[in-house]
Amino acid sequence: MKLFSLILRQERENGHDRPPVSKILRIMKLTILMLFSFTVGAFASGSAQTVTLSMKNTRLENVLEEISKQTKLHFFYDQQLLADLKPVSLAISNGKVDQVLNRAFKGQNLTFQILDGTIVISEKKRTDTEVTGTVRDSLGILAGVTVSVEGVGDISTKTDENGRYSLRVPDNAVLVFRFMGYTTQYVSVDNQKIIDVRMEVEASALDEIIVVGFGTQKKINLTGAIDQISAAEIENRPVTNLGAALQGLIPNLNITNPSGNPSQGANFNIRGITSINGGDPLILVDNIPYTADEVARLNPNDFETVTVLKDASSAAIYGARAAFGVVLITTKSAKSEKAQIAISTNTQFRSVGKLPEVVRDPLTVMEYKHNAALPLYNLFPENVREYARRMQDDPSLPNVIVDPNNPNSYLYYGSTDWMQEAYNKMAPTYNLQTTVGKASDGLSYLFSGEYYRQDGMLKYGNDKLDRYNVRGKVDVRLNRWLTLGTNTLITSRKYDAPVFMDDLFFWEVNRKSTLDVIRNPDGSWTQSGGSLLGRMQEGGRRNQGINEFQTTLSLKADLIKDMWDLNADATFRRSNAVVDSYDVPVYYTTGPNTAPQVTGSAIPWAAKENGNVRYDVVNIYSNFRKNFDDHHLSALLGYNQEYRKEESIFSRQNGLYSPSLPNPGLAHGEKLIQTGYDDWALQGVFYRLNYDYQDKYLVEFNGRYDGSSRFPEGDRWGFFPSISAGWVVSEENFFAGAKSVVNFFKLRGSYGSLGNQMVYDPAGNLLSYPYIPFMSPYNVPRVLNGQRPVSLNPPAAVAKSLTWEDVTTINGGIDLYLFSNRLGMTYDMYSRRTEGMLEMGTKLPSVFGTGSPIFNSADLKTNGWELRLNWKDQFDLGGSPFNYNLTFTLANSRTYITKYHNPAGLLANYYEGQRYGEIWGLQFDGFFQNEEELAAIDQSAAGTDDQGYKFYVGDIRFKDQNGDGKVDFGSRTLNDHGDMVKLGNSTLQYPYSFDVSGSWKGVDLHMFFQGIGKRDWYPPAAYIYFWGVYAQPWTNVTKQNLDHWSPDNPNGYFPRTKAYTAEDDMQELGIPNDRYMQNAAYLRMKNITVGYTLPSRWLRNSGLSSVRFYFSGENLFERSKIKVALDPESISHDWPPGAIYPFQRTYSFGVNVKF
Amino acid sequence: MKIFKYTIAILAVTLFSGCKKDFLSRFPKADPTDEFFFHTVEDLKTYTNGFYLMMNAPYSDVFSDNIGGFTGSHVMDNMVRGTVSSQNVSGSIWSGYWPNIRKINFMMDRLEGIEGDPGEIKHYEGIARFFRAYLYYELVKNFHNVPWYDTVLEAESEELYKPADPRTVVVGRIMEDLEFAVANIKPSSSKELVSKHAALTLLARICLHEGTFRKYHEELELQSTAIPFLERAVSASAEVMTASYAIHTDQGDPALNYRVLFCSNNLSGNSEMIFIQKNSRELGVANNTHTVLDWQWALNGSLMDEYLMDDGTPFTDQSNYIQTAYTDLFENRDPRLSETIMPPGFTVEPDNPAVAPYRTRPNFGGYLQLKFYPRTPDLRGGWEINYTDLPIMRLAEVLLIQAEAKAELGTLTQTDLDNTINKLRARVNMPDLSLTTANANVDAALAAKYPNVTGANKGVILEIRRGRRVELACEGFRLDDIIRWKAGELLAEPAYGFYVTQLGAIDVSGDGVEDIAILENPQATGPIAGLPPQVREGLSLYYISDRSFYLSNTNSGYILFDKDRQSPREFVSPKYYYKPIPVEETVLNTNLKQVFGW
Repeated sequence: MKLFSLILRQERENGHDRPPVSKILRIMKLTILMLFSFTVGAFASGSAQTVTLSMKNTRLENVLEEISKQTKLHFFYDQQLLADLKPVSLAISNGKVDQVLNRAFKGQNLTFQILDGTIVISEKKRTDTEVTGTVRDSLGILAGVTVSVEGVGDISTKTDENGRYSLRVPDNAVLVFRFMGYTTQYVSVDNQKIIDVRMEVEASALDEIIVVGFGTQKKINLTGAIDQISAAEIENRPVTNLGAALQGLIPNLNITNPSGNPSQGANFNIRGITSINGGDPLILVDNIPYTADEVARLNPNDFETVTVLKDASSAAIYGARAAFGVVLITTKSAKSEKAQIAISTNTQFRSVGKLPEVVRDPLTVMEYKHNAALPLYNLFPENVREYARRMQDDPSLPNVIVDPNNPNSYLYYGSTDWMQEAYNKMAPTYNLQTTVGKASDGLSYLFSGEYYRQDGMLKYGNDKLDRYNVRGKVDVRLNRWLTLGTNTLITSRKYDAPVFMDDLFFWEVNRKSTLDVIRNPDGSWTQSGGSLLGRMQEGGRRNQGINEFQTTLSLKADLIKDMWDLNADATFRRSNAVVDSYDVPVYYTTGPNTAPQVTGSAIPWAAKENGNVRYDVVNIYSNFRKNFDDHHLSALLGYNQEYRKEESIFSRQNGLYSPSLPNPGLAHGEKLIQTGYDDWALQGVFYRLNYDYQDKYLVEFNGRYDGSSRFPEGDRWGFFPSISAGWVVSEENFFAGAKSVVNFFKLRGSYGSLGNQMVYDPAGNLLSYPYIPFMSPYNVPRVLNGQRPVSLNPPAAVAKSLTWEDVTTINGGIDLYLFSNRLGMTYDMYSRRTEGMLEMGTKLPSVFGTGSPIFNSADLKTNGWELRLNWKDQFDLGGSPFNYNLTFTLANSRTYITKYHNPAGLLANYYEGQRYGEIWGLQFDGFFQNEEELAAIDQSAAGTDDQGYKFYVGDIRFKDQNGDGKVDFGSRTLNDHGDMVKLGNSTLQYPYSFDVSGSWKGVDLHMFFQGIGKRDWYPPAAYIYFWGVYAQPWTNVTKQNLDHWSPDNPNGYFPRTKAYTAEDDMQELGIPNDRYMQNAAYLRMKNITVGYTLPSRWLRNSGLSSVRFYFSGENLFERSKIKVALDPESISHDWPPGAIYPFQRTYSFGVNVKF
Repeated sequence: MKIFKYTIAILAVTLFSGCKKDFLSRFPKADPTDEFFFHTVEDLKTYTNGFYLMMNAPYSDVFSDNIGGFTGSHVMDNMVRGTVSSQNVSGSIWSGYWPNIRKINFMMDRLEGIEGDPGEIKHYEGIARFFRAYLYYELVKNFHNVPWYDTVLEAESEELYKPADPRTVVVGRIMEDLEFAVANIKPSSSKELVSKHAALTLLARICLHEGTFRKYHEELELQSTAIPFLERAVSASAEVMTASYAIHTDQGDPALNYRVLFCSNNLSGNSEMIFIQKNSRELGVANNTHTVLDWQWALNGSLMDEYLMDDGTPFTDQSNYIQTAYTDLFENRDPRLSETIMPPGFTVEPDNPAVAPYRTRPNFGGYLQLKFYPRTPDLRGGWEINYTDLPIMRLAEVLLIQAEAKAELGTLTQTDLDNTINKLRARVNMPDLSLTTANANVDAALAAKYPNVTGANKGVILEIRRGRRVELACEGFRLDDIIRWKAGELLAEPAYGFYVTQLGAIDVSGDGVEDIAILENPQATGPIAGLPPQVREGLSLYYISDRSFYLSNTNSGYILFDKDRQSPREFVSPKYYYKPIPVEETVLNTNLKQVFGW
């Protein structure tokens, strides 16, 4: 319309007067010509004429007038276009018209076309085709739909009340139709002038396809507690490990990272405490079970969806091992008929996260250690401290001298920051991923590859991780009813690290005294330097390689098209792990003339361990579905069997011929050979029956009959049924009035039981043969008759009968969508009872001589809820749509022991009614400020053996709850607990996350916060990061140690400096008390990503379809109230306390390219 | 419909073929159950190999009155300072023994199924019972009455909750085990293995302990039953003495003859050894003996004082012996003194002249333990990497058992002394002990230590106790000896170090030049002001103000320890001769009762 009005206006203003009919004809003619010219790009003949001009600072209108005079050409333009232009200067003789115009328009946003004697001037951008059309959905016309041109920010409009739009668009434009709650549509304009669009309601609201066990379901039809995220939610982050990336995304999918070690996977948990002896969710990738560590080895770019099945009914189909939820991961498949190629690369720089701060001034350190060690040791006596005092006045004094008390020994006055010495400031990670795929009727394929390389944080003898992944998925349609498929994966991972690293390295880093230096004046290692850094740099290494090959062969037969199919798949995984390790002695000296001493392995050795895993899975299942009018029925019947066998051999020999050829075959000393064998099998038959009426009343039955090799014959089989139902209230007639606000409202409920067959020993090892009293061979560390012989340990006590743990879950949920589906809410409440937990049934007197046998002995109950809120909308910002998305998740659960055989009520054990995670301890009652206070109470039962159970002025005073003049633990039972009280709870409470993302004009921003709302943590005894010299006087003085009791500071944070008071559990400071109980809640900035997608018009003719660059930061900062600079996640892992590979902050840059 | 049928058929076949009954029957192929083991004598040998870890060679007397300054933690040290209770006592003093007893009983329960030479089977049964007797006697020493179990318990066993069996019953079982072991264990060519003579030695050791314990601990009212134990101690030790063992004298040098027993790597062929713990760099088996010198403890002045002069007279008879200078203490003494307590001028690298003598430190009292310290750097690698062999049983102990048991029985003769303690004295060129002289001239210092020794043999018993303390110093016997002799008051006495005549510089290396100085505090430098600067610069300075030690007369006297001042010792008799059962065990088994006031 604009174009017409422009011409009319120009003509009118120029005073041309033509008959209306001819005018209209002329306009039509011009329009057609213009359209034609867009297509062929040709100029008309008028450009051949020449003009001669010489004008200075002249308005452009005058220039045009002059040209018109000389050439008889007409001009058509909008006066407004030329109104604000700067004057031009031109001097041209006999120039062609187009050249003249080009020069006249130089630097202006104008373009022209010469059409049949008329020159049309227009704005450059509006190269100008007008497109009009109507936008509808399945019901009728849609008003307010945003119509824009992809990649061009300022061309957009909205449909009017009739659903109509018109828009002038440039060449090769792609129109984008956006409307909340509908899938965004992209339409190439090409030659069309009228483009009508039918918008589809967005799937996520009602029709999202959710992956469930052995199939998919529409979200609307779900009755269980299921949550799903798609690759889109993580693909814009530099994800190097899927587990870590999922943290916080799904409420009550609790992911914890054990450490910053690149070779360790994340831990998964669903809905809190499962069973006393642990119990992880079942993780399946393309329907094949994986461990969390195995998932960590996969290419995170392969993942398409991650679905979490939380309640009994949704997980029931997996029966065995699904008791504590299921994580279903699917990998990408080819989707497009056009061959798709994608490449993404990513480079990261990681820095070590929070590290504890220690005091490094030699004199301060010596004084603290001296005072802490008294009266036990005279550490750093006055004549040693004397030199440190002199150093303060004269920093040039050497920090290594000969010990005045021992002329054969060095004495160190260093200020070494061992953390800084042990770890690099930055370490890089590289990642390259490619995908090629194509889907067509008969054949579709997808190949993906990944290379991942991570350098570790160790400064000396760094560790390196290399990972390669290749996956190929091919589906072949053999005929109308039969499809064959393969899904083949090759994974290779290599992790090369110092052999010392798995040992006590991380513990040692923190134990090394700041006073020690790394090397002696003669260049040799010091004891500290050699035993830590020397072993890393010059000691042996461990190279772990894992090669995994897995292929799934699948067959799908459509027995009756769209009604009955039969599926069978068989998966074969063959893994081979080779661990090569060796160690050699590292030498250090302790004095100027003394002989070198050995750290590490006194005698060089080499070892090779070879492990082979064979894992076979067979699934056969058949789906049937049929609709009878409004009755929708579907059924599934299937069979599953799994067998896994692991065999290993470890050989080691001492006395290497040459440390440069560290091979156990090339040695002359003691030989050691150990073999390992472990296998288990599972079998099960399962069914699912779904029925719904009008998508409104839904009911589902699940069940599974399972057998496990982990149980003795007779106890092996269990049947686990479940039922669930849903009611889509919003489909009811009575709801119609509210439907404009509440678009969707569903109530769900489920009840069912599942079996758990995972039996762990008290050390946390999963047992494959818990009922078999087997003996384990070992190499006796004693020389007997000239050799180190083999012996066998007696078997542990086992119960003769043990069977499945029965896990019953009752679940209720609500799904809500409001305000045109912009606000989504899902809320679930559940109660999970774990009965017959495979647990040491009772604490037996220690005369029993071994751990109590594990049998189905205890019960617990976990109550919890989870909430997910999502708000999704867009608005216009500067003429372009701004899309944003806010997601908030929150969950909680509490666990109680409902049955445990503990008749004595021992507090060291579980007892009935106990809330899981309870922390018992003594109440802080100040510090002893004088001898009278000290004499008033007998605390020897709460003392530490290292200090003879004695207390002195300045020490901690505990509250005498029962007023008997003594602080003690009674008989440490529920009925007689002395002065102990409940102080807190160690479980993770209120895990939450907050996710914000937005995109505008190709720029996208994503921020993700994750946290724990409540948690109590008592720093364990010997946790030297926290306790410092209160644990051992040899360890470092931590920054927080400086605030302690003294006569001048009677209310310091810590008591009088006193070594070994925090060294043993339940002794002095090792007794939990409210003074040192830490608030371990935290909030973490998990990820922030800024990306930019190049406008598609820039990519025209480049062969690329999409290019996105991004910067991203992971774990950039956290807020935590723990009184020591530590990553709040690192505290949850126990022995040796705090000794883990440090967590890292990650800064990365990457590019994703699609062809 | 054909597809239909075939598919169903395939499905059904697969389902049922998969349900093979043994698909779910799995067992660990690398780890046998007892049904696959315990068939042959060789299996018994393999299993008993694991028992050897139950008995280790001690190399210190922590804790006892042989210990001076001490910074570690020990239940007896804490006990005499009055702070141990059933609430805070370490659970392992009780629970640490039962896994090993179960391990042994597990084999005992399976002996009937073993096929092979009955003598061989009994040999290994004997080894099992040898270790069971040893473990049970340790429990008896700790707790007096303990429940006796000779079979593996089930989780449902009511015996788990039975009361403790009386000492007499348990010791009776121990005796049965040991007599069986003695009768059936064969002599061994390897001293690394338990032999008949090792069993006899253990029998003699336990019999001496039980016999003297019952004799002196009248609170048990078992005095009358002591004699058979002492008699068996005599006969068992006699049997060992007649076997092919001999006091080691091959080295020629008296001191070296004694030294090599504790700091060499070739005890396998040593004639004095009955049972040893072999260590080997090649096999990666090592000990931690380098810690004996100056780590957590030093030795007590009371041990120093007990070594005789080399003419056989008591050091405590020397005039003004109390004030003997540190460097003079080692002069003209029993040569074993300088092998046990580090003498002045000792160097840790004897072949390296650049290494200066080790300076003793007054913090621990100055009497550093040298016995068991690996003398040469090649045997001394550091923490848990020292490769010296260690004696678990040696003939010297057997001789001392023989002498003491006979003396307590009243049957001791001069010949007995010559066959026993005088062999030990002769090795180090010490004059013989004479029965008549000893009984005629009772050493007053010893008599004061053991006031409950009476009778005609009082003098010789005291000298035998001295001989035992000196010969077996730092071998882990001292605390047991004090307890069985009911001499607990010795543990209540403050430990002490060497005598300091005045504040100021002292020569501790024996070269005449002062090496260390003890001053009141850093400012009080008066006593060393007059020294030549190069001497003063080289001094190791120790300050009373550091609150680690002090002197008995403030500015002079014995080194005493602040710990004993802050936490004075007291010995409660008879309570402290026994230990409390950790409270948790008496809660779990209410039939288990504490004894003697615990």
